[in-house]
Amino acid sequence: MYAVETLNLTKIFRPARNMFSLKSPPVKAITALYQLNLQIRKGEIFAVLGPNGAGKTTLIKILCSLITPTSGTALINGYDVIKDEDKIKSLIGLVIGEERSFYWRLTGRENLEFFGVLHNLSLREVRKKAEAIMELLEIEDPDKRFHEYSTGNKQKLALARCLLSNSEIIFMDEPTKSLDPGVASRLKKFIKEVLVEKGKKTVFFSTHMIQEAEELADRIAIMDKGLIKACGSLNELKVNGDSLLDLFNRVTAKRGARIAI
Amino acid sequence: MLFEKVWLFLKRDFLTTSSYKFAFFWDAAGIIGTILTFFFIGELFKNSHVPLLDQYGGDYFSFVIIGVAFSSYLGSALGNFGGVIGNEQGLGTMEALIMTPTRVSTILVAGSVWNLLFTTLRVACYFLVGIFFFHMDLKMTNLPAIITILTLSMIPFISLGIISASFILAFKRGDPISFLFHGASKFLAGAFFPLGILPLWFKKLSLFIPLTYSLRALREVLLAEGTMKELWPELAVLLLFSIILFPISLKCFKVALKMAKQQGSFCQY
Repeated sequence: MYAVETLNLTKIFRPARNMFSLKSPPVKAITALYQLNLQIRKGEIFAVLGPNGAGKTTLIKILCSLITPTSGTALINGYDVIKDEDKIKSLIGLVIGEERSFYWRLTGRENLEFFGVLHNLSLREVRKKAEAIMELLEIEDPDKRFHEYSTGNKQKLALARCLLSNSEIIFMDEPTKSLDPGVASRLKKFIKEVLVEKGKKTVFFSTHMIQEAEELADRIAIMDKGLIKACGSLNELKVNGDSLLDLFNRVTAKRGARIAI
Repeated sequence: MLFEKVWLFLKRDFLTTSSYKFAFFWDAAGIIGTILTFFFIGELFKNSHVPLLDQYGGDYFSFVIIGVAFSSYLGSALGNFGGVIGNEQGLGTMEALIMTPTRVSTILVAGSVWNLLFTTLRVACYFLVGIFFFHMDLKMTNLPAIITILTLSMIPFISLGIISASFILAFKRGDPISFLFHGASKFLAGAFFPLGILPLWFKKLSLFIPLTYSLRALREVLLAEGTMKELWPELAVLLLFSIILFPISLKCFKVALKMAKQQGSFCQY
């Protein structure tokens, strides 16, 4: 059984028409994902690499049961993301890079306690775990209000929140976005050594940074306009002697129109 | 576990509210301002006989404070759930909450507790200030009737609140339920004046608003010592509203949740 599996996964967004403007043209449906097939093994670090608007975030949100696919199937440890939503939520964690996903007027510690209890842990357990995780991630000033945190500290707190739930599979949407190179490098080391090698977790992350995918992932899928253009380990992708950057430029340069529906 | 979740929501909301230093102060000032306004309007009519107020003891001040206090209380039950969703969407925390194994219904209820407690405190302030400083005459003898009216009033308002939350979840803004049942119902249900003063077609409209029956029953009990037997027509209508609205509200919420997931719009506002 795969940790993550998708079968012909398709998502089409149909934006609402502006009903107050008679002149507005008919709104086109947007195909965010088209017939995606992926299999990610347990304990693997898998990267989805793609330019902005490739469909990376939509894919992660479908796998986290936050968006319903239009057709196809997505399975987490064999559980369907639509039918088995409750089971899936106890298996997965999502590191939301969006800093607005925290309560700005609460401290880092208060935020962790709040979300930890919502993950069905007792307050006592959360306090103990949060302390250990904050130490592990070297989160500075946990009793400062969230809005006073540096970007790096905010991102660490997002990871800490995810680790509280002790999920088997961790999804990360652009985990090192806006981080300085030093913090980004330590975070990548933490993901590889602590989460995957020691913790035996599966990590699925999206990025638009080629170097990040190269350094961190066991396998990489290059995605553009809702399609998987190439997928494999770094060695498999470099089979023609191309660098990952060359391959990325080549497969994402074939910019046809989005798939018409 | 549920208790701890509710406690953490309460703590979160207390810390957030108290971090805005002047919010408490202006809220208290608002209560005093409302009471003073209606006290002086009451003073204006004190020596003139208003037949429409006879059944409620003839005192406009007591009549209007009950109307204002309870309509804001029930209105808060209506606006609470939509407020929770709108607030989380605005803050950007909605997805982080939905990602937890805690059910959306628990998030809605626990997220509303602080506001409900705060509104209860506000209502208590209206009455305490009215009784101790402006000699408001309330007959608190029939406590079981008061509790029954409040309970039966809460169910239709909470149901309307869930429908309102469904609109916000699905369409973000432009929720018609809050407009119709929160804004207009204060006017149509007679929060500020006896319904007898309204033209006939307005009176007919007021029959479709649960607040009309809640206020009529509460005023009967608190101002005219009405008994359960005298109140049963109002209680029966409130029960009917509850039976009809509650299942509809749950269905609406289910549909709205499905729509939000299809649009991927939990964090949009």
